[in-house]
Amino acid sequence: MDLTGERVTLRALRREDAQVIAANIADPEVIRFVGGWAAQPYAIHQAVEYATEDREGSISWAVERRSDGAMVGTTGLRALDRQNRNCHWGITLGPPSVWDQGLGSEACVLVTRFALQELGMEKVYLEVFEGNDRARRAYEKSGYQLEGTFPQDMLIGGRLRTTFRMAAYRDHPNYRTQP
Amino acid sequence: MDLVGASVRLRAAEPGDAARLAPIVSDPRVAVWGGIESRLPVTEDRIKRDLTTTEPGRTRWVIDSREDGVALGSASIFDQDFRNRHAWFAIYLGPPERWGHGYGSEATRLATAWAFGELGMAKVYLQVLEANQHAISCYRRAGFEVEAVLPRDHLLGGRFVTGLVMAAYPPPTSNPPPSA
Repeated sequence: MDLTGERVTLRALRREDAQVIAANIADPEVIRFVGGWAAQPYAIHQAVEYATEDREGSISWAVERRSDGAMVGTTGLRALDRQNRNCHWGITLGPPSVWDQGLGSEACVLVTRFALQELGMEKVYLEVFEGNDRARRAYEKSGYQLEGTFPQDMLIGGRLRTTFRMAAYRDHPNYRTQP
Repeated sequence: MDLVGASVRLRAAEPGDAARLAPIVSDPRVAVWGGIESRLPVTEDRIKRDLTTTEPGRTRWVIDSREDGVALGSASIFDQDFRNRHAWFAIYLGPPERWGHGYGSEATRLATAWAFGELGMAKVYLQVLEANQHAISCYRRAGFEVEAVLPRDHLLGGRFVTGLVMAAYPPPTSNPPPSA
C-alpha cells in the first residue's frame, strides 16, 4: 500500500522512475554521501532493473512530492532481520533543488513507522557519513539516536571518513502506537 | 602460509577437522554466543562446507593448540572491503575448559595483524554480545576497542540483548621515510 504524509507519498517503484533514479546517481552532489558503489558509472538499464525487479530481503518505495506529483527519489529498508527484528533504512533524494523541503524527514518517519508498527521491528538503523550534517540533524528530529561512531570507515573523495550509525526504537515517543 | 604464535597455529582446514570441531560447535556454552545459525543443530557436513568453501573476500583458518596439536576452533577475516580498507573478524574456540589460556587473544592478534600486513587493511571490525565478557577481554588484549553499543540488537533466550562493535587499527607505519 502507499504511505502518505503531508508532503510526500511513498509508492511502489515503476519503470518510468528509472530516469530520475539514474539522473540522481549521475549527480556527484546527490551521491556524495551514499557510499562507494555510486562512484561507478550507472546505466539506465540498471535503474530500470532496480525499479522493476523484486528483491528478496529488501523493500523499496518511490518518493513522490505531493505538491506536484514529481518523483524525487527512492527510499527503502534492507537487511531485514526477522529473528532479531531490526533492519536498515536508507534514502536518496534529488536533484538538490528538492532538498530542504522536509521531504526526506517525512519519508524517514513514514518508513520507520511502517517498519516498527507493520513489520514488528524492534529497531531501525541507518548509516550517515562524515560531513552530512544536514541529514544527521533530520534523523535526530525523526527520533534516531547515535549508536556508534566508526572512524576511517568509508572512502569518499580519496580519504577514509567517519561513519555514524543511528537507530530508532519501537518505544520512541514518535513511534509509540496511539491508544 | 600458517600464522604461528607462541600458543596457537592458524592453518588451512584439513579432512577430519569437521569431526574434531563438531563437539565444540554443538556445546551450548560456545554456541550461545554465535548467531541463530550456531544455535540450530549443526551437522558435520555443514561445518566441513564452512571450513572448505572458498569465497572471495573470506579467509578462514583452523586454530590448533601448539602444545598438544588439538584443533580448538576456527577464525576468519571476511567481508574484505578493499575500497574502504576494512574487514570483519570472527572466531569460535572451545571447549570452555580450554578458555583462559590466551589462545583466543593470540589467534585474534595473529589474524588481525595478517589483515593489516597482507591485505593492507586500515581497520578490522568485529561484533560481540555485551554479555560475552570473556570474549570482550580477549579482544581488548588483542588491541580492539568498542566503537558502538547497540542496544536491543539480538534476541537471545527470549530477551533483547545489547551488541557491541569493536575495531582495531594497524600499528603506526614502520616504513622508513623516503630518502632525500
